[in-house]
Amino acid sequence: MLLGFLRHLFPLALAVLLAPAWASPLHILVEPYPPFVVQRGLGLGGPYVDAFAQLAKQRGLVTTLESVPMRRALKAAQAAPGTCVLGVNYAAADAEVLLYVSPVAPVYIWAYSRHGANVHADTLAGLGHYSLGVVDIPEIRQLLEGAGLRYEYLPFNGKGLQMLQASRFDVLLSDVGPELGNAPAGTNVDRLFLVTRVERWLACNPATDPTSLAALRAGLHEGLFPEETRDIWSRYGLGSYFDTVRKEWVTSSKMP
Amino acid sequence: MCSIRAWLSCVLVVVGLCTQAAGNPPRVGLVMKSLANPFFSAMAEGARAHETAHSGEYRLIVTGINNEQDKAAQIRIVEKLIADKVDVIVLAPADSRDLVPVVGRAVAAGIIVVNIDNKLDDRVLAERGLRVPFVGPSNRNGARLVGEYLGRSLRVGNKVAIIEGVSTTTNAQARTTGFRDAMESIGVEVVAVRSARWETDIAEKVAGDLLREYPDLTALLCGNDSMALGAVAAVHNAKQDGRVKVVGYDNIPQVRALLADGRLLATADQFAGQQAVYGIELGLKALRDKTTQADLPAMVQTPVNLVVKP
Repeated sequence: MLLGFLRHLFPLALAVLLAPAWASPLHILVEPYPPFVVQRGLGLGGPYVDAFAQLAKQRGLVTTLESVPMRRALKAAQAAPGTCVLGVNYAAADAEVLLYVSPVAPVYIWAYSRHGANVHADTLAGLGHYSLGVVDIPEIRQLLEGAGLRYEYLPFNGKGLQMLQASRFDVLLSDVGPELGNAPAGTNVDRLFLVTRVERWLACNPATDPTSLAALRAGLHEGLFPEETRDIWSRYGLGSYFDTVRKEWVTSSKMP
Repeated sequence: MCSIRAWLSCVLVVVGLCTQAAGNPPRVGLVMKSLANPFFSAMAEGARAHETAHSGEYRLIVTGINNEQDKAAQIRIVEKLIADKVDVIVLAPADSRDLVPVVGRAVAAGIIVVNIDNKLDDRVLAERGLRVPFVGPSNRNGARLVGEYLGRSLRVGNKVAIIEGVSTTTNAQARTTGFRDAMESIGVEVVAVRSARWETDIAEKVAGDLLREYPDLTALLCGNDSMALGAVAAVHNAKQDGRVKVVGYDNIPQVRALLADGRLLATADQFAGQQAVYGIELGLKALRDKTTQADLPAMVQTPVNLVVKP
């Protein structure tokens, strides 16, 4: 009888010993930012969201995604272990309270002017004579301040092209341009020059369990652009953007 | 007889080795920035007091550089500690990016590394697959406290300028952000952000230039008290005492008289001596528990308080 009991117990014991250390569920906060993250009724869509969900699932992570404005998301992530923010820009001030786990996507910042506005600038230094509207990214702020340039932040990052069209400023510095296919009808802008490239990150509460963090780093070793996410990007009409990023960022960035 | 002698020799060697291991406490290298900055003097004092209180448990090696920006010298110090095979390095980096490679070499050599005061840049750490715990305050929160206190004596539409530390460092950027947070919340315009690289004499010149360039400036927010000393001197030289307010950060002894008579409105205390101690204790615990570098906690947040009177 004892032998019979042990015979049943042994596989159970083996299963317990060999079972992976399951990571705790993660709460992922993300701000809508078309075309990469879009609000769909009560839920979220977009290539950032779909690619992240796929990569997390492949690594055995249980995640819930929630649409939250960025400032509130950053505060919430600071307060609760297991909470992360997807698509956040690097900011030194936040790096002291949040863990920047992995870059997820490049951000190419281009300078745009209204078509026919007679703006002549092909470098940052050349923008000194123009009013600038700038996407809210701390690294860009640092760059502009270092160059002695004054600017205004866009109140809503996705509205930059509309504001440029409305002559709110002379030059828009943004990562979202008409080539990404979501420009409002009638948008007619000129792309002047590439200002710089920075990155968007996944940042988590520092007390998030190490197993989850390790799984996230492994899953995001090519950001949100590993080959297995190609179909996702194509579905959103961003197939050629995906190719560009793989060629220029995934292969050139020093991801361990 | 020969075999007994050989056996005894082996035993004696083993006993000798064990005794030596037991008698050699772990060695901790504390690598700070400018030893001329009273903030780091306080840090060193706190660390030495901790070593004394834990006499025999570890041996502390206190090092630093001559000025805030000599990152090459700081890299050389870390390289020497690696060569000397210390057990723990507690580092307040002069630069958030350029110290990362030598930190990587220390970690590869099996040394536990703890980052204090100025956080190493996560972007560069991630590129190299390095995980280094940060022990320190939220400089943004500390600067915001100081800025909010200043804000009580400002009005909407007033203009202020920020005098920043070394602009590529995390703590300088975080303090600037905290100052901005406070000013934006009350509708005060930040007209300029200029670096004085943490140094008093550079800050005096920068502040003087700002006062000439912006004659309606109402305050100077300085990323550390050393720079605030320079700003106070510039305000006095420009005969703007009482009209242009100055705030700082660090609560060094040299600002006590200025706080008392109002030449400095406020500063922040981030408990320099205790910060080093937290870093040392984290490193020693890792040795005791045999925790690897990769498994150390990501962050230990330390306190920072507003100081308005000495």
